Amino acid sequence: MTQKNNSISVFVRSILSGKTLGRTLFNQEFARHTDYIVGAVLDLAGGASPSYRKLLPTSIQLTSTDYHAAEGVVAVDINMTLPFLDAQFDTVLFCNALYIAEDPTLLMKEIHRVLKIGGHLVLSNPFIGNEMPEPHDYQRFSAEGLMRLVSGAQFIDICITRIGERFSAAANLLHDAWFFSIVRLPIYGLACLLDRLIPIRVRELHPAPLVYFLTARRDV
Amino acid sequence: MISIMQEPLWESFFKDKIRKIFTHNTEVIDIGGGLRIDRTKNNRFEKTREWIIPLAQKISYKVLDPVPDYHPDIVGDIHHLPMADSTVQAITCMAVLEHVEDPIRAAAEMHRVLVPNGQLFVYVPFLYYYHAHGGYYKDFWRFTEDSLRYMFRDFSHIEIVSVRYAIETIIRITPLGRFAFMITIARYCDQLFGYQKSKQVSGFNVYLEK
Repeated sequence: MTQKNNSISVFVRSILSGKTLGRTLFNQEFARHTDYIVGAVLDLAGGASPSYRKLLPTSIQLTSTDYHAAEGVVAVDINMTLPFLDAQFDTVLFCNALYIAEDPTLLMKEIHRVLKIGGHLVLSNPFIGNEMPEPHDYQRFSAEGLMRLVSGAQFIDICITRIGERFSAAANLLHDAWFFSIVRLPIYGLACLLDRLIPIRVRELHPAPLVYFLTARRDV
Repeated sequence: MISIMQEPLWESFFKDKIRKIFTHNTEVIDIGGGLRIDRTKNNRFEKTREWIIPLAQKISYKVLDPVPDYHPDIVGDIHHLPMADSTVQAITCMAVLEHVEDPIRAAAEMHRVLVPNGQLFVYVPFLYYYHAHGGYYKDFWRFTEDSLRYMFRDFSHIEIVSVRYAIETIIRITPLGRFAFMITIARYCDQLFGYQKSKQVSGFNVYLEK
């Protein structure tokens, strides 16, 4: 019960701080997977201060990257060969940026290359999410699309989790329309409750999540 | 002036381009049967598109599909179209590309088989729920305007029209979309709040010429 109360508390504080519902639910999911984040960690396209930064274990050696260099951030163009050695990292984080990639297949092979054998990929990508030209926004992947993409790059132990459903996705799409965080809080709370009322059959046959969250491991 | 009686732009665009394709050519290949005008060649029928049937009866209208169970005229894979280079006058490809493994390859194949100045009409979804059909086809992708311009960069002419605007798109994602009056209200709100320029859309109608 304490954990549940804590989770609700984190949800409330996150929404009141102005974060989108998508970002809030993503951070909650991310916090459940920090066991994978060890050793030398590459945060691909995460920028200087991603919202999940404070969730990262303190013991890691983090390499932050973005399209433009900044203090503590290495400039990396994800549409080019990654400027890192083979098997350099224990973990690669690639959160909510796959849609920018011109050639996701090639990028996955590059991520596989820079990971150590046994290292983990932690990836997320929006599904029902606004177009976000940064500077481009090429595509969304379904769970099947992600599975095909990541398994095609020789990753194993692929686990895909859906974050949110159609009511929370709809509420999140209208984030700016709600204007004030205090207005968003009951709307987002209601949307999350309505998500739970969607019949399981509908959720399985026709899922409409905000985000897909994926973990995978390099085997060879 | 806000009007909910007026036909949406994406509908008039669809009708204009499909009418043009069916009146300017003597053959049209419907990949995947997405026009939904022939019950005998695919698994669905769209009553609002009955007006296309007389046009299709005047020309050679053929459905291509990889699934023989649907009784298409041509059994074929969009990744390897069974036609020679520059031999097809026009193609329609509606709600198909999200289901194929390699949409870029599919786009290149359609470009290959079209004659110079050949016409292509495409619909792809963007903000729309997963909709595979177990045992027949999967559902891999959602497309943005950027991806469409990238995929079809070899075509000489491209027109893209958003299908539905922000609020109607959102309503259609939820079960509220089953109620016609909610769609009407959503459409009115989209006009009232100026969401016509939003990129938050259900999908895109695309007209192309080689």
